[in-house]
Amino acid sequence: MAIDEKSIVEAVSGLGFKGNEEGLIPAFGLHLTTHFADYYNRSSFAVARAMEGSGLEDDARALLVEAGHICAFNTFGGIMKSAEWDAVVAPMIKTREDWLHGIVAVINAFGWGKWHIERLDPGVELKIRIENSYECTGWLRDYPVSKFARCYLATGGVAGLMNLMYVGDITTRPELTEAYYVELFRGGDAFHAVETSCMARGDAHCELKAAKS
Amino acid sequence: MSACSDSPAKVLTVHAWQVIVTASCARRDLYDLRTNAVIPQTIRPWLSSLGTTSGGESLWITDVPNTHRITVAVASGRVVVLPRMEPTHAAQRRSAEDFFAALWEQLARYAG
Repeated sequence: MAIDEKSIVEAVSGLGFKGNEEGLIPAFGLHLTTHFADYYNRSSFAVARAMEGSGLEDDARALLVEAGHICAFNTFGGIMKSAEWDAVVAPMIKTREDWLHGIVAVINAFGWGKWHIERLDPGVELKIRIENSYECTGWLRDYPVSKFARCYLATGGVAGLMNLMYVGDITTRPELTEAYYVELFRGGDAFHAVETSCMARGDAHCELKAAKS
Repeated sequence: MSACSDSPAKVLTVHAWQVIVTASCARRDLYDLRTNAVIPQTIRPWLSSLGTTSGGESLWITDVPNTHRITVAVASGRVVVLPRMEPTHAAQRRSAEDFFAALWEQLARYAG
């Protein structure tokens, strides 16, 4: 593998991301924000908890995971099309699978937990382990050990990575339009992810597996 | 979802450059120039003079307060301008156009 995660983390960390006078971080062709992880956590967990016991638990989970799909499409897709990617990550890329190792390195630079690719079977399966997922650390601080997995955004994110790479082809820098989203995430070929281990459920770490249904 | 998908790109012509303009759901467009040539280190002081800079040898970022952020991928010759949201679209475009015109002159000067 040609991707040097340490170099990527150092390069991204050295860019001095902080909010501008509009309160936004324009980077990677996107507008990022910096705010408390709990802002997202408490919003999503409130939705999930409100639905639990109503018979709509699965619907709540599907909605929150869908937010992760959309995040992956726009944010991960945007990052992989960006000038920053061209300068920092692209020179290390030797194989198609390096794109996934590269985006995981960027994710780790952003501090969304420590992601690690456990297994990548190109076009078939991606298994990601996350240490200290911010969704789970937030859950465990505020709520008892859960009966359900709670890494909604990460679950959508892992499926999104596979859809960007193997259902679509982010390496060709496509326009990230609604039509392209539908093509990647709504077709019969789309990847879906499940969280097989979750710290919120008492597991040692979180583990997510994306595969075709 | 539809509110947050980028619209198909348009083009801004600056001298011989075709700058790709991608509209966004957010109130700004993104201006993306591919010069397909290495950006010479000699223009870095000029870029730095435009605002606050960060980045290393291969990636330069210049933040121009209240205007836009300029990102330069040196080896690939890609230059991206991401406007602030507060100015109108017309003002964003004018600032980007002025920047690319000045960049054209800088590159012409050092190439010549």
